[in-house]
Amino acid sequence: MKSSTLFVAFATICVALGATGIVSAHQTWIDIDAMCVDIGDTVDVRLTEGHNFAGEGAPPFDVSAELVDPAGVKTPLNKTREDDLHWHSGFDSDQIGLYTILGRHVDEFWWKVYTGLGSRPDRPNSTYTYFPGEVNWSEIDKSNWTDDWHVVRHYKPYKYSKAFVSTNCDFSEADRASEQPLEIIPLDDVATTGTGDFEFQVLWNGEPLPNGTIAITGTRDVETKVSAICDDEGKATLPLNISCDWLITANAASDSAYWDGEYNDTSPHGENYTGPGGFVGNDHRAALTLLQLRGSNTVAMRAEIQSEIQFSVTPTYLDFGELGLGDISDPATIAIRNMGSKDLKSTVEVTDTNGLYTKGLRINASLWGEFETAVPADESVSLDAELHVPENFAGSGEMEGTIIFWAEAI
Amino acid sequence: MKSKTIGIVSLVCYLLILTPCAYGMGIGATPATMEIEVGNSESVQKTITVSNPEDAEMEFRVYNEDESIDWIHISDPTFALEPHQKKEVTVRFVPTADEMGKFDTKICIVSLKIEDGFNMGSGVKIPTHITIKEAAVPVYTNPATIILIISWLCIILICVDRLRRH
Repeated sequence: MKSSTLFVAFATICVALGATGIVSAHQTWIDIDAMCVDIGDTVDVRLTEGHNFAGEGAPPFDVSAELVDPAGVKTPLNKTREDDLHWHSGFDSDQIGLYTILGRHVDEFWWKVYTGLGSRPDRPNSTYTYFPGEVNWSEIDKSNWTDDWHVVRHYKPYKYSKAFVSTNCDFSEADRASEQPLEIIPLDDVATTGTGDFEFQVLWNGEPLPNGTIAITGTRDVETKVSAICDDEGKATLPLNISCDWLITANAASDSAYWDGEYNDTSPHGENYTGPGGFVGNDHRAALTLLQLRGSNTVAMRAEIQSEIQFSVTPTYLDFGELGLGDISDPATIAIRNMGSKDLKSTVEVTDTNGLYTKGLRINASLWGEFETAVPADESVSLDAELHVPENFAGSGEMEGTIIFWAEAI
Repeated sequence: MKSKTIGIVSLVCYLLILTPCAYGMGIGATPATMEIEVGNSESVQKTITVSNPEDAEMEFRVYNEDESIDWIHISDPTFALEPHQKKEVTVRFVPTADEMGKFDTKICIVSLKIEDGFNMGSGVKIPTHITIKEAAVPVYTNPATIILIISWLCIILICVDRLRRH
C-alpha cells in the first residue's frame, strides 16, 4: 500500500477513534462454527446480540435470516429453536461454492437522551441515558439530569448481519453485494483476514453514503478494536493485523450522521436546551462475521508437485432411499473436485447384477452411459444422480451395485 | 465412573461411525499418458505413481483395460495406501517375438469402497500407446550368422580330417 494511503487510513482511524470514543453499541451478528465446511455438512446458524463480539442473549423482537446459495438463489432460514444466547437456524451445504447468510433484526424503538455527567449513578462517567419503548417524560425522575437535557435520538434499530460459508474454501465471490439495505462488503480476500490491511465497502441500498457518514469497526474483544471512517465511495481500510475471529460492524459515525429520518426540534428537552433537536427515524447498522481460516502467522516453506491426475468424489455413499416400482428418487448431489494439474474428462461406469442401477441410474437427467463432463484443473463440478426404478423391475430388498467415476486427462 | 465409561465408549463409537463420512473417494496418478516404444522380444518398464489424497486408508487396484494384451505386467495389482501416501507401481511391457505394430490400451487404477448397497469408486485411466518394432538382433544371435559359422566349422573339420589321412 502506498505511504499516502497508509497515512489517510491512519488518519481516518484516529478520527474514528476520537469520534466514537470506542463506544460499544448493542450489535446483532451471526455466529457460525467455521467458514470452510465440507459439502453435505449441516451448518448451524446462530444469531446473537451483545457488545464487543461477546454474545449476551438471543435478539428480541423481529428476527429473520435468509441464505444465498452458490447459485445465487435466496431462501429463508427458518428458526429451529432459541436458547438463552442464540436464535438458531441451519442448512445443509449440499452445493459447491460460497453460501452467504443474511440476518435481519428489528428491535423496538429506543430513546437516547443527553442527561449530563453524573446523571446515572450506575455509570458515573456516562452522559447519556437510554430508554426502550414508550416513555412518559413527566413521570421520569430527572433530579440528576442537567437542565439542558435533550433527546439525541428516537430511533428504531435495524440490524443487518452477514456471514460466509464455503464448501470449497473459495471466497473470491464474497465481494458481491447481497442486497442488504446496509451492507458491509469485504473487498479483499477474506482468507487473508488477520494478515494486515483489509479494505471494506459499506453500501446503503447499493450506493455509498457521503464521506464521513459511516464508521466501520473491527472488533476482536473489548480491548482489541480498530475503526475507520468510510469515504465517499463507502470504502475504508482496517488494519486487521491479528489472526483471529473478527466482527466487522458499520453504523452512523456520529449523532449528527444519521440519514434515515429527520432532526425534530419538538423532541422533549430541558428548559435550557437551545439546540436543533434530536434525530427521529431509523438506525441502521451492519455486522459481518469473519472467522479465522489459518492457525498461525508462522510461514513455513513447503512444495509438493501435484499429481497430473488427482480428483475426489463426495459423498462416498449414495442412498436413494426406499423406492417402489416406477418411483424416482430424490436427486443426490455428487461433487467431483479436480486437484491435479491436468483438466479431466469424467465418465461413469455402473455395474450390478439385478439391472436396477444399470437401467435406472441417471446423472444430470441423462442415462449414466451418456454422461461425460469436463472438470478443469483446480475446479469442481456438481452432478445430480437420480434412480428411476423400472416399472417391470422384479427384485426387492436392498439392491447392490457399483458406480465408478473415471477420469482421464484431456 | 460407570456412566463416564459408557460416555467415552459412546463417543468412540460415534467417531468411528462418522469417520468414513468425512472423506471422499479420491485418487491420484502420474503420468497422465504413456508412450511406449519397444522391440519385439524386448522389455520396457514404466513407473506410475499412485496417491491417496484422502484422509482415510484406501484400497487400489491396477489393471490393463485391454484383456487381450497379455504381455503387460503390473508389479502390484492390488494394494492399500494410508492417508496421503504414495506408491510407485511398475508396468512392464514384454511383447513376444510375434507382436508387431501399434497398440492402444489404458492402464486403469481404481479405488473402490465396498459396502452393502450401492458402492462408489473413483478411477483413473491412463491412455497408453505402444509401438512394437522389430528388435535389432545381435550378430551372434542372427540365425544366418550361426549357419555360416557352423558351415565354416564343418568345412574346417573336413579339411583337417583329410589332411590327417594323407
